Amino acid sequence: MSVPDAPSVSKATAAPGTAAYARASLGALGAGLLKAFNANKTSWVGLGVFAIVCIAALLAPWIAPHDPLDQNILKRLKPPSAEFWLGTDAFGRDILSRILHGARISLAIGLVSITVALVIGTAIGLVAGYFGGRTDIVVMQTMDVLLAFPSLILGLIVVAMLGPSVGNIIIAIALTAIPPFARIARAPTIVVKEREYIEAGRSLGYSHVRLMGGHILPNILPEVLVMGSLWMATAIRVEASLAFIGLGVSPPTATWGGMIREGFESILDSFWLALFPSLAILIVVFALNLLGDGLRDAIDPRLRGEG
Amino acid sequence: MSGFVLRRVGFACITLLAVLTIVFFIVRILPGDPAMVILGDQASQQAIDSLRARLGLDQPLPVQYVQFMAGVFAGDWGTSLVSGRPVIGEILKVLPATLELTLAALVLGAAVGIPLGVWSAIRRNSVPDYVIRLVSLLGLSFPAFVSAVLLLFAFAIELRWFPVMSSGRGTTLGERLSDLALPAINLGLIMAAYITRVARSAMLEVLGQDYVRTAKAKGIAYATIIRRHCLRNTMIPVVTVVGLYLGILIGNSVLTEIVFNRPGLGRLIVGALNQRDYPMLQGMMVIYTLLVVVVNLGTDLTYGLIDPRIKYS
Repeated sequence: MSVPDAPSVSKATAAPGTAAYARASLGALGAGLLKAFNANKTSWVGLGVFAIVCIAALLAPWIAPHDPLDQNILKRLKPPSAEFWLGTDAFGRDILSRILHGARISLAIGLVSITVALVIGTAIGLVAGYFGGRTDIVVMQTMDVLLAFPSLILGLIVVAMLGPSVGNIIIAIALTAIPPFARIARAPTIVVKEREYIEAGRSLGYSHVRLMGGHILPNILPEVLVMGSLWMATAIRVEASLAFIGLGVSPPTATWGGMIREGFESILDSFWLALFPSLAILIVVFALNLLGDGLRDAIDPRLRGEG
Repeated sequence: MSGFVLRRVGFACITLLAVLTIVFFIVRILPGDPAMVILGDQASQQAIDSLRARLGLDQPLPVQYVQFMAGVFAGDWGTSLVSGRPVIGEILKVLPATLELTLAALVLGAAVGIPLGVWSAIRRNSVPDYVIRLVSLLGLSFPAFVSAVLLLFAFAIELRWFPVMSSGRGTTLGERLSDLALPAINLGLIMAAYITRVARSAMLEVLGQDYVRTAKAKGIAYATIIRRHCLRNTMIPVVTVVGLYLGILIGNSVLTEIVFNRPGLGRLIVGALNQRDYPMLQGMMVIYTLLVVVVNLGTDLTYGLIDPRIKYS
C-alpha cells in the first residue's frame, strides 16, 4: 500500500505502545519518505526551492534591503535599479522587501490552514473508513457535497462575512481543504484496517483510538503528507486570489496577491509592480507542486515498478 | 438505462437540497447581523429593524428556511439591495457570458489536454513526456489571475492582437470571438494542464491492463490498440475528473472575468461583496450550486454513455 509499510526489524522487535516502537515507526516513515524522494529527483528540486523560500521568509526582517512599509514619494514607480533591485511601487516602497515580507504571510497562511485541514480532514476520513457502514456513508456524502462547491467562492463568502484578517482567511481556506483530506485518508484506511495486525490488536483488546492512531495512522500518513504539499500550493494560490479580489490581509501589509492587485492598476506603464510578485507566487506554487507530484508518483502503488 | 438515469437524477436532487441547506445556514450562521453590516454601526435601531423585516430576517429560522426553499424553486430569489431589481434577473442577464467563457475553456482544455496526455503516456519516460509533465505542472501552478495579467500584458497591450477590455457584448460573430479569445485561452490553458495530467495517468493505467497485453500478443498494430482498446477506457476518468474540476473552473472564471473586465457572474459576485448586497450573494450561491449539481449530473450520465457496464451496476 504505502512505502513505510515495508517491515522494519526494529519496529517488529519493539513492543507496541512503547517509546521505542514510536521511534521505530517514525524511522520507518522517514525511511519511506527518503525512498520516495530518491525515486523521483524532481522532488528534491521542489524541496530545495521551497526551503530557500522559507529561509528567505524567516530572515526577511534582516535580509530585506528596505522597510516594506517605508514610503518615499520622490522615488515612486522606479524601475529596477541598483538601489531598488525590483523597483518601487506607487508609494515608493521597495518591491523586493515587500515580496520578502509578503512571503511570510503567504507561507504562514498556507502552512497553518493546511495543517488545520490535514488534522481535521484526516481524523474525519480515518473515523469514516475505520467504522465503515452508515457512519461512512453519512460522513463521506457530506464531504462530497462540500467538495462540490467551488472552493474560491466559498472562501470569498466566508472571508467577506467574517472580515479579512489572517485568522479568518485561514479558517476559510482550511474549511475548503478539509473534504479532500477526508477522502485521501479514508481510502487507504479501508485497506489497512483489514490487515492481520489490526485484527491481532483488536483481539488483544486495544481501543479503537489506539488502533486508529497507533496502527492505521502511521500507514496512511505518507499519502496524507504528500497531499499536504499539493494542497499547500493550492492554499497559497487561493490566498493570493482572495487578496487580488480585495479580500486579503488589509493594506498596507505586504501580500503577494495584494501587490499584484495594486500593480495591475498601473500595468500599462510600470509592469514590474505586478510582474515580480506574480513570479514569486509562481515559483513557490510550482516548487510545492514539483515536491508533492514527485512524491505522489513514488508512493502511488499503481504506478510503482512500471516503466 | 432508465433506472440508472432516475437514480442519478434522484441523487442530484438530494445533493441540491443538501447544498441549498448549507447555503442557507452559511449566510445566517456567520457572525454579524447582515442588516447591521449593510447599514453600518451608526444606523438607528429603527432602520435596522425595517431592513431586517425587508430581508425576512425577523422571522423564526424554520419559517425563513421554508421561505428560502420555496423562493428558490419558484424563481423568487429576493431583490438586490443595490439595484432594487430581482436577483434572478440580474444573474440570468450575465449568466450567458460566463457559460460562454467556461464552455469555450472546457472545449479548448479538452482539445489540447487529451491528445497531449495520451501522447505523453504512450511515450512514457521520453523527452516529450518529461516536457509535457513539467509544462502541465507549471500550468496548474498559475493562479488564474496571474496568467490572465500576463496574457493581457503580452497579447493585448504589447502585441495589440486582442482588445484590452472585452465587453462581451459584441454584436458580430467576429467581435464576440475576439472578446472571448484571451479570457478563454487563459481559462482553457489552465484546464488543459489539469486534463493533460488526468489523461496521462488514465492512459498509463489502461496500458497496463491485461487486455492490452492480449491485444499486443495477437499482433494487432499498436496504433489500433491505442485507438480501439485504450482511448475509450481512458475517457472515463477524464470525464469524471473534468466534472470534479468544475469548481476550479468556476473559481478561475471569477478571476479571469475580473482581470479582463468581462461581464459575468465573477464581476457580479465581487460587486455584491463590495456593496454587501446580501440577497445577491445568496442568489449567487444558489446559482453556483445549481450549476455544480447540473454539471455533476451531466458528468454521471456521460459516464454511463461512455461505459456501458455502468448502466447495469
